[in-house]
Amino acid sequence: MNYTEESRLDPLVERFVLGTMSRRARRRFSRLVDEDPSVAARVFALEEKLLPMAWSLEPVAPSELLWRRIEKQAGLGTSTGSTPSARSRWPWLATAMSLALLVSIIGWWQASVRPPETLALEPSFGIIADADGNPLWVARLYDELSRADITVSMEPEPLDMNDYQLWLLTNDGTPVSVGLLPQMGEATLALDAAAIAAIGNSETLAVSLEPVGGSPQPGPTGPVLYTAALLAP
Amino acid sequence: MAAASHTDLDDLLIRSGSGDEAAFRRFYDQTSPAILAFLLRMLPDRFHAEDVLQDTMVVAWNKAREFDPELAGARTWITTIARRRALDVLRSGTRQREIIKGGADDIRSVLSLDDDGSPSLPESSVTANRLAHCFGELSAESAACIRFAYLHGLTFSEIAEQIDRSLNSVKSWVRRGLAKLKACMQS
Repeated sequence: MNYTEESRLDPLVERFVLGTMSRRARRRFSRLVDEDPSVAARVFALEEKLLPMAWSLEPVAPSELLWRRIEKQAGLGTSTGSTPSARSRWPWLATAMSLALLVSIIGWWQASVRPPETLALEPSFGIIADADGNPLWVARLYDELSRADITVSMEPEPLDMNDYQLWLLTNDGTPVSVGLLPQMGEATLALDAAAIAAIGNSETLAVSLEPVGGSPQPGPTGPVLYTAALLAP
Repeated sequence: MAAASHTDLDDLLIRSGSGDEAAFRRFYDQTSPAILAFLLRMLPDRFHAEDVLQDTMVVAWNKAREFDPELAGARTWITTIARRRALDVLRSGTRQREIIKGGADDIRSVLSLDDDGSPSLPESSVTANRLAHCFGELSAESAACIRFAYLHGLTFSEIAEQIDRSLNSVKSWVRRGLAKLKACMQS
């Protein structure tokens, strides 16, 4: 469909803003909004008109912990984090330094510095819920950091003789292990190359019941207990 | 709670884009209660709502330097990010909820209009008053369907199910309602 045809654009903008598009169509249109300023302007113009509906509700204060979670995820409060200001200074640095000096600094940086854990990256994430909709785990997958942060939201049924194992299901149906899920608290899982590659090629997470230590095979050996959508950044 | 003026929020967001963390904290303080309020309307529980709010604010920090006040005000900008993220969660299949939380009472509140025929919109800005006036010009069905979609994140099918009307009727009410709303807001 030619989205940019005038007669077709307005109804699409309306459906996009109201949220009544199908998931796939909304993804496609999202890209158009991000890439085409004229489409973005139409979207924002309608959003602006409807905004008072959203902002007229009785405000609700977030929990105290939320800001700390945002600080941690966005890398705020650190001098080494990739903050917007740090990134915006690069063009200035490029003009101020000689090219040779810049190349040598980049070379040194690549050789010696591991990306700090506080990088302000946007993860793919999924909320794994039980059959009643109770969220059990929140998974944040950072391909650029080769890691997954897992938070237990509600403790799952405790297991002594088994483990819960998290999988990425790639779009061709291949399961790729992410690692073992914690049964309480939080855990950080190191992602191997297969998992990192699968993040961009998957829209589904799955949790299977496995022997202690995880599946002895490349795929699940026990029943798949839960599945959840993996949302791209 | 009085909302900060657009200009103040625009300024805080622009400063955030330059790496001013204190400005971003103030931006968060001034916007997050309102955003959480509507996320709680759209999403099944506080856990999901706060999670989406967290991701919204991280995206806001990362993309603040792209903010262009000529294109949209800061409130519109941050609300758009939050709604898109919430819709991702809703459409991802993680939603396991009564479609309209609060059951029949809330359905009545969505469907009902004030005595003068306009929806209850306590915000006192000119735009809000204009929207309230224009909503009053819509049929009750159109007004309800638009609010179901925008505030609760319902699909056309879910709205049809909620109000026990055909899918085509719902689509028609929304289309006609939005056209009338836009014309009224521009007049």
